Amino acid sequence: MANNNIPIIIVFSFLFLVAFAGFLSKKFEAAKIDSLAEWSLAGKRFGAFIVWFLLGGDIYTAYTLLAVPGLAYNSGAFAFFAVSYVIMEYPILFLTIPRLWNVSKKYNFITAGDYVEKVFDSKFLGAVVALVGIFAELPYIGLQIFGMRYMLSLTGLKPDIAIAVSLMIVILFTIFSGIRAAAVTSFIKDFFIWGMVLFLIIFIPIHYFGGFGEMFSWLNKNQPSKSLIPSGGMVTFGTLAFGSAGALFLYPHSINGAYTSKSADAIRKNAVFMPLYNIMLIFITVLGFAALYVVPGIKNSNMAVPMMLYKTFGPYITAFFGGIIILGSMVPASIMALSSANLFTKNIYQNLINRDISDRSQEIMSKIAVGFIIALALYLSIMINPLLIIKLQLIGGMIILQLFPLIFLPLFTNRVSKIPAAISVSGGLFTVFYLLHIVDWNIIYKKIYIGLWGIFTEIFLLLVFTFLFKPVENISLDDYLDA
Amino acid sequence: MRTYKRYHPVTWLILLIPIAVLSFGIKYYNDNRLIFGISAMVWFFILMDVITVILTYAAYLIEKKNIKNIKELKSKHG
Repeated sequence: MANNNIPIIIVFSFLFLVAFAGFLSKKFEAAKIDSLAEWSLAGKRFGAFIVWFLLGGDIYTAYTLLAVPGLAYNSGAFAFFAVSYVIMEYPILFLTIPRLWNVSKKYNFITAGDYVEKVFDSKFLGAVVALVGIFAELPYIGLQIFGMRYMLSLTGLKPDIAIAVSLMIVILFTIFSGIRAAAVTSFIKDFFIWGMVLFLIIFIPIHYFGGFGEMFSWLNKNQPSKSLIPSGGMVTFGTLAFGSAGALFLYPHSINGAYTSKSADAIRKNAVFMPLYNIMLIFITVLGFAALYVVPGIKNSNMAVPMMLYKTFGPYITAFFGGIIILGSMVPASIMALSSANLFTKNIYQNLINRDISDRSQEIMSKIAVGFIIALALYLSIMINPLLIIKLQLIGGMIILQLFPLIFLPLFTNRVSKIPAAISVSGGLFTVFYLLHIVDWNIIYKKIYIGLWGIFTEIFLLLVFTFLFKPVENISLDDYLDA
Repeated sequence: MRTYKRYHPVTWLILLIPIAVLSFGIKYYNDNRLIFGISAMVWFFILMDVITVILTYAAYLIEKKNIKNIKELKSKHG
């Protein structure tokens, strides 16, 4: 829409800022040796403060900044399910991930697949975790690319060129600096995103409505169906929120972010203070309501906030906000690609193809895989309809939730062994795909989130089969405690 | 001194409160009345964020004590 070079300069300034910080970050908490653990987990030396930003970079992605207000624009208060699930997720983080961190520290695990392989003594189950994790991450990275595309379409810049440049920067700084790049750029991302959201949540309601009260009064009066969760949608709202909360810390990128922590205590501190970050998500959701007034009738609801920004501020400021959103895409894309690459190297290549691969070769293999995974996500985002990518991401969330008996359950009991766990996960995955097929790839069956139907199946199968087999004894409950 | 290899029962209880309230209390917070100019539902989510911080911090303190007790027991019994 803008037809001069200033928006292009603004967007590229952000890209170079990120590139500069990403490459410089190699010196941050610098590695003592070259290894996969140093490159991808920073040697597990990050304190609570850095992990807070890293997890924030993981969870509050650029796509979140566009999709959640987009959902509010389209479906009204139902969009608050995203706020609800992120609040629920932190108690789950507190209960599970510090225990996973302790056992991973003790046995030098790099991925969740390593843990599953050890606890069940099964390379196959480790590979299942890797395959499901990579399948779930690919469309997630694809969505980050969509986030970039939506914003760039308003800057007058050819989206494909800017996306190619930004992804090339992500690939290069991830290969060069590993997780440190994501950690350092997370600081920059949060500085700008918090600034942007706080400015918009104050400016937009005052500018268009005269204040918050007037904005909500307008919503109640003119869009009453969107100011409340529909009475028939409450079960869907609750199950979708609960299921999504359960899934989030089963994603490889969330686990990878938490693994960088220097102690289980640092993760607990994050579980305590991360809900404060979530207040930003409430503000972002409310912006979707404002967009209903400012830019009514938009078909692609993900464009609601970008269009509102363009209408309000014109091309230059929109390009500035666009640069911030692109920044917010690059950080999670880096962590997602890195965690998927580790799963491939450790739990597919090393487990199934070359058991004797050296630590140095693992690092090289993961670096190559980062480039390959981002390129594949870019290919998907170009070749596949955006609606299909969104659907694939939702399916990814459902199937990653089915890993619960493999990753979360053994943290608390050694009663479940390999065969019952494998049967229950197979049953859960089968249920998810069968119900998806029945409801024509919708995510709800009989008002309940399909991911939870899979969990119901898993619990039933675990109750039937668990006591027919001996408990596993590879990891004792003491290994989950703080050293 | 009683210790727990999983979590203290109170930890479980207080951490399940936000999950239960958010999952099952929807009809109570599905409210668009304005309170100080902001939708009641928005206030509710802000409040739940703050309550979750407080409850998780309480759980953090309980578990810190539990971990300390476990370490003391371990050092006593070698």
